[in-house]
Amino acid sequence: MENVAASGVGIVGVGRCLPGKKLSNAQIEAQCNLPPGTIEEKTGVRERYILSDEESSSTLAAAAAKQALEHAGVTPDQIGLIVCCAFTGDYVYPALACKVQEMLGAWNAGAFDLMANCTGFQVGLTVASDRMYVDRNISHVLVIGVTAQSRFINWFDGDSAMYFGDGAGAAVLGRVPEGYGILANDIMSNGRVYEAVRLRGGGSSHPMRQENVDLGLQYFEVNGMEVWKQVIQNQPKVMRRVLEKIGKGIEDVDFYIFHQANLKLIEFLMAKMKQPMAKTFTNVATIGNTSDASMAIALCDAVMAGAIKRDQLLMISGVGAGFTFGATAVRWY
Amino acid sequence: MEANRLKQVMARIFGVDVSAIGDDASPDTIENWDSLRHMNLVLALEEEFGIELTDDQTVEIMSYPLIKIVLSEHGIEI
Repeated sequence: MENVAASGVGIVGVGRCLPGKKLSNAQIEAQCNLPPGTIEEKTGVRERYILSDEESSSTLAAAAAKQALEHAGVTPDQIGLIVCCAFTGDYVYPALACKVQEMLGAWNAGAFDLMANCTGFQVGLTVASDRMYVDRNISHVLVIGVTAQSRFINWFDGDSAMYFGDGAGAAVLGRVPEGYGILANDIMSNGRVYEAVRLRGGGSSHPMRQENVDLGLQYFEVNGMEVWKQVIQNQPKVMRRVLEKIGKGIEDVDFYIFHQANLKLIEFLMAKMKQPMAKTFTNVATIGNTSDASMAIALCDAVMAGAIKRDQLLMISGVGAGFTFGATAVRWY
Repeated sequence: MEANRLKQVMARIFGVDVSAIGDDASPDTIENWDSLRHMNLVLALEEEFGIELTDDQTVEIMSYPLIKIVLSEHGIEI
């Protein structure tokens, strides 16, 4: 085991990968019969990237993971666990994480997938850091958020097509000195709005049979109004809950990484909390809502831009279908 | 007086004439009352009346009558 004196668990490397095809608002607006400018006005998104025919969740996930390993200076054989946060694996089963293990040659790692939709990466950080705090034999964990949701979007339905893009982000967790790293996590859920954002086709209630395809159940269904209500009602709550665990308040947070659902929502959250936009990082304008990958890619981009500095208190928070709300407080090392 | 202040704020946020803000105003009567403008309404009400809406109140204020109720909870009678 490395660095046995270190009792904290922190993020020691980050990486990301975007697929090869760029898709502009103009293309979507044309095929969805939306007036020009509608998508940017409603979401702040200008463009997004989607999979080419040769790409899949595993190719994106492995590429992001390799970049994170290199950034951390960690080799695949040092990884004790791989957690893939995804609902668009290469197959319905087995777990995407096992495929990624094979692609990386991370033969000392256990591997499993985790589904919390757009909150996935934060929930993945929670589970992974909990495992490391419990099992001191695990020196490093790879947490990957990945989405290939373009395969499940009806690109002629503006209500779902305007938001999303594909991508992957990854973080390597490792041992850091006490007082640094992941300080606390919190997860809340609200199953009363289970039906608000969903992909029914392929599930056990609606197997992938012709009659369900004829009903269009292979595509996302998004109730945008309900998403908005859930975010503004519950995301501040879950952030306050995690901060209470460490005796801190919103005013003590130095930097925020949010799920990149919609630029307007992020601007609202920061304004409501009376926090300046300079204390957060956004990339939703250029890559869209990348679901499970969103917070991981934003974190990677913010780190690479030098926006997050040692000793800062970082908040990582997201909201996903279900609905599930998550927040993680990190003292950056 | 306070009712006029409230209607002025709503008219500005929704981009309509103040006469269009009836006592039953809601997303059903004001076409521009979408999620984006509702978020702006939350922030505008906080600034105009010097209050801080709770997380739950931000989604409760979905009509003129409901806004009046929430404002009264902050000691502002319309």
